[in-house]
Amino acid sequence: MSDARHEDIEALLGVYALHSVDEAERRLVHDHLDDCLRCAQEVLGYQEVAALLGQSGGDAPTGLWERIAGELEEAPPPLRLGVMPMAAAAERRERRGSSRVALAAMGIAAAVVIGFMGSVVVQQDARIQGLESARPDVPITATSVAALSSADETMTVDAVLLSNGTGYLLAEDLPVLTQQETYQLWGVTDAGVISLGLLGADPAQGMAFQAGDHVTGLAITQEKAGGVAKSENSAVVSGTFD
Amino acid sequence: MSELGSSGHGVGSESPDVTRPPTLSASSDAVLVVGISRYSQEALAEAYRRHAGAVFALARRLLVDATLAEEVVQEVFLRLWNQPDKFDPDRGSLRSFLLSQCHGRSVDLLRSETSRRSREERDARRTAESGYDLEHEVVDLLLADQVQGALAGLSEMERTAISLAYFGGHTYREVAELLDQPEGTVKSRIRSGLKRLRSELVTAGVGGWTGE
Repeated sequence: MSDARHEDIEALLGVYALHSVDEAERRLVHDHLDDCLRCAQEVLGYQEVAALLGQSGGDAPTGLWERIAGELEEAPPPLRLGVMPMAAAAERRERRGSSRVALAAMGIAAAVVIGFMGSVVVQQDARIQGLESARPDVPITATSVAALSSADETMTVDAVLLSNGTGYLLAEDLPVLTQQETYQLWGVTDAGVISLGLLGADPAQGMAFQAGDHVTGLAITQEKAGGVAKSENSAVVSGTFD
Repeated sequence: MSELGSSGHGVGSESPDVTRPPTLSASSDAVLVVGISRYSQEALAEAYRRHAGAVFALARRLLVDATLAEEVVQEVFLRLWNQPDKFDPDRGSLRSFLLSQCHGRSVDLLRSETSRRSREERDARRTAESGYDLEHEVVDLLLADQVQGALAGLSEMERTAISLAYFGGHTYREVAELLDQPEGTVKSRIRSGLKRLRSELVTAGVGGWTGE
């Protein structure tokens, strides 16, 4: 980008922050901000000023929340994950031997931690983890293991959850997907199912994830690349922690 | 195989004022957004309880039409529900984020062909009633004394240009026409005015500034 163009865009930063540009200029500045930290910081400052100008007290209209809540009820498609019953999962773990799972998972832990920040798992829910940093201390679970299995039991994925909330997967059984697809990891909680991150198209290598003690089980679905907020697909494999 | 729903244990259609748990009412906005990212309707309800009034007031100020303003509020909070990752707590407060979303959407509506006529009528009415300057708008919006003090430090041109752009929803080109000034001058005055406001407000300790 030439200096002249940078200066031209700089001149638009104030009006951009006030939504006072046309669509072409909005796109131009928006794209520029992705690459120019200085301009991005300047815009943030102006947006904060604009927010202060627009701040006010007062109440929202009666009944508006009810309408919004009604939309929430309708909007999220149900995530359909078949999680194995606890007894079946426990039986399978016993048959396979949970110590092998734990040892294998711990074995890959060091390698995984090295590349943790670049992990595909982290990419999807970096937003959540970043936001969680503002939370009070999250309760930590004891180490537990889970054996995830497909409905026909031809595929298995072993998982271990350490006491610091970090979990690891051994997903070598999962077939490689196309580049347009990804595996997505979900945590099962009492309140519902939450995304724990993307595993990529070929999760044969050990993968790390973050989960709190509210996660009682795991499931993996096959999704389009980039993942989904809520899945309508059945789980490829699923299981519960012991 | 059991089927699991994806929503958290929500508040359904009850009022957020009635149902919010004590733990959420004491939570930071960042914690609320974490909850929203996990499909907690209680978290969204609490965010709504805290900020919907301000969002509605701004939308109403811009659009005048209460029904349109309500639609904007609904859209802003549904967008937060569907795309909570768009909010970055390191880049400003949740209220600033929501107000910016509200302003952008309101401006889009203002500029749409269907609302053009009512906008012209609104501008004419405002001009006739109050003189329509930024200080009056600020008083109407119950801004802090520090904000008003900072505004007083702007030149008349800066205040008017910012007012027409922000509260009037005009593009800077439209502002230039309205003020009979070159476009470059208007861009420059708006930027210099915002820069001055920011400096004054930082000094006064107002706002959740980033990168300081």
